[in-house]
Amino acid sequence: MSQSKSKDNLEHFTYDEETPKLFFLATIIWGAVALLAGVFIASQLAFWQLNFKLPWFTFGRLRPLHTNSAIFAFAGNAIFAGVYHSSQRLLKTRIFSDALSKIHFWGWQLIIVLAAITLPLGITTGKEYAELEWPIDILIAVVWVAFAVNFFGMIARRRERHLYVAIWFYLASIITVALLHIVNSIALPVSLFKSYPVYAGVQDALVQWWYGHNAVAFFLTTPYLGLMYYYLPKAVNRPIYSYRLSIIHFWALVFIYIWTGPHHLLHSALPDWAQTLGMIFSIMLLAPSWGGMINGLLTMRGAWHRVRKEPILKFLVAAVTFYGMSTFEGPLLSIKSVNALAHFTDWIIGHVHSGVLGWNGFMIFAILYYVVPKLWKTELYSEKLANVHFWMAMSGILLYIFSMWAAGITQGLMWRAMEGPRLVYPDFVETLTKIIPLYYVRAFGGFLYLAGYVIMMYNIFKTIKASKPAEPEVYSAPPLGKFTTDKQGHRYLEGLSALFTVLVVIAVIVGSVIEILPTLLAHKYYAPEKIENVKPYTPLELAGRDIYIREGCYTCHSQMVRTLTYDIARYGEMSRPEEFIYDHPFQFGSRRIGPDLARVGGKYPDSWHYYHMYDPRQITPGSTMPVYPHLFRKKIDYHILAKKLLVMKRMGVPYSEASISSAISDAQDQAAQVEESLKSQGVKEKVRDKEILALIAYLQRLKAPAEVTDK
Amino acid sequence: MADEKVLDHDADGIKELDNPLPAWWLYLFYVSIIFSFYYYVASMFIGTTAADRAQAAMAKLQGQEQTVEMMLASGNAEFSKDEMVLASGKEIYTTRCASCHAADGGGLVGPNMTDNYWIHGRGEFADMYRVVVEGVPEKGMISWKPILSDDEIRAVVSYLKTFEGTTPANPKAPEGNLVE
Ligand code: HEC
Repeated sequence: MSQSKSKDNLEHFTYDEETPKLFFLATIIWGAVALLAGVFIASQLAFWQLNFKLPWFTFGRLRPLHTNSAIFAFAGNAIFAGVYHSSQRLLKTRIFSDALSKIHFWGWQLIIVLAAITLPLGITTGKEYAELEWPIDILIAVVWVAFAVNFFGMIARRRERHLYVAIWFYLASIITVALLHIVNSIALPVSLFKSYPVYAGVQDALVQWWYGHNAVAFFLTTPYLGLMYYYLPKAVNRPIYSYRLSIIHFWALVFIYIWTGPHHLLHSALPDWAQTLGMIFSIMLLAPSWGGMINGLLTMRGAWHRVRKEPILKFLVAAVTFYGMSTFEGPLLSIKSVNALAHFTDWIIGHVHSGVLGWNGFMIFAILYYVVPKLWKTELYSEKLANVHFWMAMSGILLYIFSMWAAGITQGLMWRAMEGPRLVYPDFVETLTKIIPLYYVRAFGGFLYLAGYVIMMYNIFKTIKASKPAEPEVYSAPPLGKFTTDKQGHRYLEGLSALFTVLVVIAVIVGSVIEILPTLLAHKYYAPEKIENVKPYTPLELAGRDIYIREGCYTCHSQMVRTLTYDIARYGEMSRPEEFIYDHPFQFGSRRIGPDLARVGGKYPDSWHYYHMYDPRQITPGSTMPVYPHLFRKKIDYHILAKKLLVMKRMGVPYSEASISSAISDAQDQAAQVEESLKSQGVKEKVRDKEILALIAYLQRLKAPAEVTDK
Repeated sequence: MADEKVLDHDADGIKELDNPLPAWWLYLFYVSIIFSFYYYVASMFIGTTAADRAQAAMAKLQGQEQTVEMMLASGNAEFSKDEMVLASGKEIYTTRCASCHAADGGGLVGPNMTDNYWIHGRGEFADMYRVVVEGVPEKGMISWKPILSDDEIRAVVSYLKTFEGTTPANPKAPEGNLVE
């Protein structure tokens, strides 16, 4: 390690610039992949033909690729880059271990590559933003630990007694993400590529959205606030507006955020008390979030005149403003009555994009334009191109958000329009074809954003190319002195990194335990007469369900008839918590590109599904659903079924020994029945043992428990 | 700005000001907390679950409707002869039914509508209404209840009556029982 001491008690050291450089480069490359995937799937919703006839090109499989690459590859690599770059400077020490940095960097890229391979192949857990299967989950945990050791190692070796606010945010993020990832990923493997989560139904949904929303919180928000607290004052060269505000909004955010997950499950079968907690904590989150926005914007006082000229400042102002906007929209959408309209619509899609494209994206661009010339010791190739990038990205986002607002509200209003007990638009496709033109606008908006991004890539490529090799800079600082008690209040705490960490852990654990624990125990308290009717899936239905998960049907279909009259009128009997007790994983879904499927069983004859899955437009003109010809070619994997039942049984699904040992033949028998029924309805093709039979069996099984009859 | 106090802490050159929390921001935070507690406590005293309330609201809506079911029960449900109703029935038939029963009612997958043979009942209004509402899933005829309103079903059933005695281009062989 390059360290030395001089006579005046100063230590001399260098920073590791290679690791941040690598992460910044990875950010740039994966960002392009994430955006390209986004523009592509946005186009698929406008032009179904783009699903082609290739299984790995269908929307259901590519959407997880888009979300995962945007969050974990683009935003993730940027976090690591920024955290390593800024923490070294804020803590006045080199990254803890070069070896761990290598493991972290290459491990993370490996995870991304594995994700990019497995997701299109349909290897998925079916839980949003946690789709990666268990071996990759373990790898993520390992790499994250490497990151954490590197980070806390820096804190241990720091030469700066008091932790700056950016470090608080990094610290809270690293701890909480580890907690979220591990708890949500607990699963029992069936094979190398398939596992079932230990949680079922409503429990699984709660754990998943506790994870899902806090991925937004502790992956896309708190690390970025940390980055803002470093790069914004650096770029504008002004002091932070209010230290006190930093303190209050930090602790408020960390404590409150963790409770908000249930706002993804409003009006669902989740118990009312948990839903209401999700709503009120979301409302209480508004001020703490805005605390960050205010501190960012007011720090820019005195620099406003520079915004007109300097692209970095433009991106910063816009990023912080988008942060403020989406953290206003979030609480708004969490109000139950607003959520009833907006949930399952494109409004939510618009909301997340103002967050990710606006807040995270613009923050990343600002940091890149600021840091690349610094790290590579050169000047930005073209300020003009950076300005062009800004305006293209801005127009792109605005088109995106406005079209999604319009689409979401239009479709939401059409879904809820009722005359007496009847729906005004009972035909689901009618509500879909209405908003298709807005999908063109959205895809175009995304394309503009991507085009601006490509310009940035070019600009940065040219910048780096012009760089000249330089000697690493040597920094000096006195070693960390003894802890003294002369500072009061929060500054005092900032000197005690271990205590600080413990307090953060407590802050995030409280809400987690209060919400999750009762729900985990709830299964024990369901009235026996209510669960009596609930039967586990037959082996064939389970095979069908896993096809449903593999194809990502949940990206377009919900399975949750909400406690709302218009949901009941459209789909049938409302969903009850008890009916999901054997659902590992839950499949409530989050967006209704197509209709809810919770009650589709028995609605149509088997042949309807047969023709519909082969070519949806043959049955429903105007549909945008992909075609699934491969389900008519591939054979059902009967052999794994006994193993699947066994794993389910271990998690408490009441399969008998006998049903496990006859799983394969039971499945074959039921498949033969479906085949028979298709034949009697005029299907002429050979369908013996084809996957479509299992899928039909599963779809026909989706009904209120009382209506499920023994097969 | 000039008289703002700069704290003596320095983080890689970044300074912090000692400004107080903006008052409006603090009030916003207080109000949101007070509202939230009030809302939560109030919600604990409602005494019904969201599911109960939705069920009740649905029942109330259903209670308001003068349905064909009620007309059937009181024995005055009949085919409509109103031209407007028949026109709308025709439109529904063409878009929804013709793919299986042929545009002229001659039958394709589904049975012939023009002859005197009926599989379900005797070709009365109530019989046809029942089939459209409930469907015959095992034969591929879906239930139209979730898709068509009561009025629309009445209209299309009334339109079916107009096929009686017409001669379709490719009549499907009779199915069911002859009704004299
Ligand atoms: C790109 C979005 C999308 C994906 C992915 C998708 N669907 Fe659909 N689905 C739709 C749309 C839109 C409709 C409504 C129009 C129609 O009937 O085709 C629909 C309708 C349906 C219906 C009819 C529901 C009803 O009540 O009429 C079923 C059943 C269905 N889909 C099953 C599936 C299954 C199974 C999968 C996965 C293999 C799947 N869908 C994947 C968009 C999608």
